[in-house]
Amino acid sequence: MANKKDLFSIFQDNQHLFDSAPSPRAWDKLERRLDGHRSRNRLSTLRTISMAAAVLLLAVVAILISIAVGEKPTRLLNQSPQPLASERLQADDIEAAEELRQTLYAQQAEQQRQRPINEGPADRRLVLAKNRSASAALESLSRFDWMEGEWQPQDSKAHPAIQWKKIGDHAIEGQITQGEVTERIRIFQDGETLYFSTDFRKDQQVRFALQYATPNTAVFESHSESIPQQVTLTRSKNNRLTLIYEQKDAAAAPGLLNRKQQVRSWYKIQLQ
Amino acid sequence: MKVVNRKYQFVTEEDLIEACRQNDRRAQKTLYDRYSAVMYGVCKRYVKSPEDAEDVLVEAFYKVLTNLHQYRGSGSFEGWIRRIVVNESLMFLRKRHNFRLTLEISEVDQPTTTNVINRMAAEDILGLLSKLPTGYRTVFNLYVLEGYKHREIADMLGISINTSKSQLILAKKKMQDMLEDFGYPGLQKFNK
Repeated sequence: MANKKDLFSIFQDNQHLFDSAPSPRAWDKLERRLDGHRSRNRLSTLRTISMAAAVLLLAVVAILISIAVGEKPTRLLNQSPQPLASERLQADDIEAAEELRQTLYAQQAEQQRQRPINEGPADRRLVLAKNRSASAALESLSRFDWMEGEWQPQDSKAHPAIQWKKIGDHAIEGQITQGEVTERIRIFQDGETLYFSTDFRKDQQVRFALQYATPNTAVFESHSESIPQQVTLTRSKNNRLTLIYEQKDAAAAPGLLNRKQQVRSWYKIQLQ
Repeated sequence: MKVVNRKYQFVTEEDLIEACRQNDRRAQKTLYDRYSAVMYGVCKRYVKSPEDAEDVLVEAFYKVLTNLHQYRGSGSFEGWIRRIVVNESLMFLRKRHNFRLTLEISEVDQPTTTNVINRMAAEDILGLLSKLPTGYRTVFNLYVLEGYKHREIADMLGISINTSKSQLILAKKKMQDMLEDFGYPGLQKFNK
């Protein structure tokens, strides 16, 4: 073991003999590597800065978008700009709120339905009116059931009485007899549309298409220039029926005062 | 870039390390000059070819200079560099040599007892190291010159402890054989 120790000692004691300076090329190589590391570090720093800037920019954009979105009204366009009454209620009043909400919606829908068509171009209005009349037609004839029976004129000297009766499921007809002349007025359904027709001109059956209708009013129109162009049928209080023929004055602005009118009004005899 | 290396000629090791951390090229050159000869000697003990040893040295110093922030100053700075150089040398050797294929022997003839080595020139004996096979040389270096235990060597090279021990014995046996083959006069005299 002594020799083993000696052998090891020789190496341990003399290992400095292994020392020798490397060639100058070694430092050159090392320096090139260090230069590369420095530029990589610089690139890495630039990359880090640019990434941080990008993240910051994204964050700023996100915040701006969220602010912009937050400023817009979040309510739906078809809702009232004011908060609904239901929205002010407490959570435990959900049932009552729902009932109130439905009532308010029903009121809004009714107002919308009765709103005259004034906005939009003329052809668009016509389409809307047609759609409205079509939808009205589906429920229409039944709404004229109240007209059935005999109606007396308000002023018997002005015009005669009228007798309304249903003809089948798609028409109701009123007859006005004056002397030997009988004028027949008819409201009937043709396809999806309701029409008002009259034969007050013996040579001609005139037809008016329903433009809009409310529970107590129906307005029919014709585009012929030679005849009355609008017929309005109104159910008033005290069980009155009014029929108005109007001739539009093409040169004047729309309005009742600028129209030639024929107004006939009846009341119904109530059987006790 | 030509570095005129005077500024850091007489600074303390701590100051030199701090300057190197700031990427001062002259400080880096000074540090390299201080330790490159010793570390090149370490590399040459592991790696036979001087060119390869130089490449290992460059790679090791690159790691030293770019990882100085990891040196806490708790131990010897030279020892810290030396560990990096040894690790780099082992990495180089692992790419070319499979230490797992080295033989594990249960019994080895003990080397011939001889006092003649005491009379041999130390340089001649050190020269024998480079003639050892890679496995023997590596274990010999790690055990005798770096001071690692067989358990540590086994972990570093991915071999068993017994294999490490066997490699060390075989290294010494090989040296003995080489001395005989070279017909060293001292050995002849001893054998008589």
